[in-house]
Amino acid sequence: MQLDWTTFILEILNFLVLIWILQRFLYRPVLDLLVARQQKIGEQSAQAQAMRDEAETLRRQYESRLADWRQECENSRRQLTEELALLKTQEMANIKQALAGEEEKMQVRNATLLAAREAELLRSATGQAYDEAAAMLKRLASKELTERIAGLFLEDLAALPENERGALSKAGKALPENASMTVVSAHPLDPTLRAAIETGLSAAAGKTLQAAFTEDPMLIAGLCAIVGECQLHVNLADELAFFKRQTDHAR
Amino acid sequence: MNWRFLNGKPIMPDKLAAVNLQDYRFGLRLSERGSVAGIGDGIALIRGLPTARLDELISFDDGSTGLVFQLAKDMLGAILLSQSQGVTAGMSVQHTGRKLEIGVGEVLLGRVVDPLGKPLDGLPDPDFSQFNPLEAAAPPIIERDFVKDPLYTGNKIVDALIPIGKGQRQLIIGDDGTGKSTLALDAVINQKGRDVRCIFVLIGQPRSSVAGTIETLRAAGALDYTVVVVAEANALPGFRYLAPFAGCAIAEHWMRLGRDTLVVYDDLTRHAQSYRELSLLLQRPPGREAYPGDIFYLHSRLLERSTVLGLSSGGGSMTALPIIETRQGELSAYIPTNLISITDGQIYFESKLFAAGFLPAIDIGRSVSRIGGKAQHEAIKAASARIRLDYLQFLELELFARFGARLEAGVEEKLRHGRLLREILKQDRLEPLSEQAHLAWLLAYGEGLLNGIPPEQAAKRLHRVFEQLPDSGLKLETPKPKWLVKLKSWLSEAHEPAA
Repeated sequence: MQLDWTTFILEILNFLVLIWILQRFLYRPVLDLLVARQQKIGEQSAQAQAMRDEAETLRRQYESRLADWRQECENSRRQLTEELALLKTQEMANIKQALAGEEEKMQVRNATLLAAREAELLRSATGQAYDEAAAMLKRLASKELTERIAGLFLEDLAALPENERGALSKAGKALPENASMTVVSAHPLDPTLRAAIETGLSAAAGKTLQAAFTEDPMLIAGLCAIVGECQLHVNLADELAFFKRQTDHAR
Repeated sequence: MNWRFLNGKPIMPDKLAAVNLQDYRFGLRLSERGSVAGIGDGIALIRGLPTARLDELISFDDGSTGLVFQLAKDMLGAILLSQSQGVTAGMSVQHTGRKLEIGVGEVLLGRVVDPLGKPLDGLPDPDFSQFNPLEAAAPPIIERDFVKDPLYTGNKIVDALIPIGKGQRQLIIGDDGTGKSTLALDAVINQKGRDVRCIFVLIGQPRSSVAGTIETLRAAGALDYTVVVVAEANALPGFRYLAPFAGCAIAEHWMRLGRDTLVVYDDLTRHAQSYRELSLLLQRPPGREAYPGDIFYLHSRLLERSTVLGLSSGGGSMTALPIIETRQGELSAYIPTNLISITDGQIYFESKLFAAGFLPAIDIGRSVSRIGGKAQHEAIKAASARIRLDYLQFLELELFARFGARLEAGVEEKLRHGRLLREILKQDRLEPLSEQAHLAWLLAYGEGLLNGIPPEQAAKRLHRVFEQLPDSGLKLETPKPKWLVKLKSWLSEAHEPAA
């Protein structure tokens, strides 16, 4: 084959044009693409590394936080336990105090109720006892018993202590001139006994007084004399009432 | 002079129990005898009985009983304790050696009695097993305790702004016809289910008023835990004088047993007038306003028996609500000033407020509770801390606002809040509220939940809220946020019908 320099030169030019075309439309875009891809990969790698670093940091933070949280939980649990124990102690103390207070209140209340019931029973027993005694004495009472009590009245009247005699005398002297004394007996009295009573009372009062005699079966037996502001009792009903009042005062 | 003898030995009345039965011998015994020198207007003048003691019971020959009320040189004055007409001049009088007592106990619950314990309600006589003296010494200091627990009257103003504690003596004072007795009735009705025994003492009131009060208590179901002690206007002055002491003795019995009690004295003005009447009849020297000199002692020895006992003494309490009437709002009159100084605070009823339609007509500015704040629940105390001051400021601002001057926005806001509060504080009679209801309206107002609502409608919405409270399970100890959530919900529901 014969070498033609024109063809050779044209072939060289054609090759150069081909190279240019390839460079411009194939190599450059491809290289740019490769560079971009490499850059992207680099960025992604850097980003991944950053994420890895961040993740590591976060992991360390979370581990630290978790440790702190565990510590805090432990502290909180311990504190809660202590608070619960303290609260339990306080509440138990409060409950014990409240129970002690209620117990004390109930003790006082029971004591009060017991005292009230005892007083009630005593009053009831006293009343019943005296009522039964009065009923018994009513059956046993008689005119002879009243006369015997009247005799006792005269004996005691003659033997009055000075202070009692003075009181009776004062009451007698305070009476108006025409006033009279009253003698109430459970049973009718004999005229002789009436005269003796009138004489005895007048002597004790230091003044001659007329007596008005009446009967009152409620006295059971005995008599009661009224001289002005002074009363002289010597009968069973007043005696029972006296003891009953004693019991009431003792209550 | 001592006229009681046994076997020639003088016996002092206080030592009768010391008589030794071994030394006893049946025989003559001397005793005193008095005679009636004069009688009238419920009292008897008696000559004789020189050893009679004050407040001793004496018996007349016709079976009547009298109470020694005054001791003079040659004469003693006695209060007749029976309505019989059998006592005549010259009648014989004897010692009984007893003090005046009244039957006490559970049998009295639901009953209407007179100051001697006799029934007035037509039912059979109570079967008393225990008696207490009408005149008793007040508990000593060593037995007393602090006022710690609240006593809820059911009234918005009282329970929120003028709190009353168990064992407190709170005076109810004001002109006639301003609602004093109504407040006391509300307080008694509100004690249902609270284990508080109530004693309502009616002194010197007409029979129609007495019947109305009893019927009101019965209709409200309050008579089951209440005792009504009545001394009507036409009763003997001695009965009117003894009535509050009888009520106090009944309550004292339960207090000694560890129970909480509430005593209402309606009213002590008539009691003082009865005491004055008795004193004048017995020719005691009159003092200021013709009252005797010991009128202060009369009321102080009555009200000092109201207290809280310590646990060692049973732990019970007696709360007293004495009612006193003023004339034209005059607080400086003799009896009102005495009672104001004796009691632990006062609830003052203003007749102008009553005329203005503000019911109950309680003057918040002049009312005070000196010790009730310590007994108030913490939640109610916190919620009502500023309301009293705000309301008083509102009243002052409203007075200035009458001149019609241009007001600042802040002042307008205060006036609006004040008008709202005034409408909320109104309450109908015989409609006591629970403590939960008090906390509800206090929180609703305090947190501004009622702002923007007209005052009249706000009261209605609160009424609907009160109706839902019993089923809500809310208590005073419930945390505040839960209360607010519920209140907002209820108020929103209450708003729907108006939308």
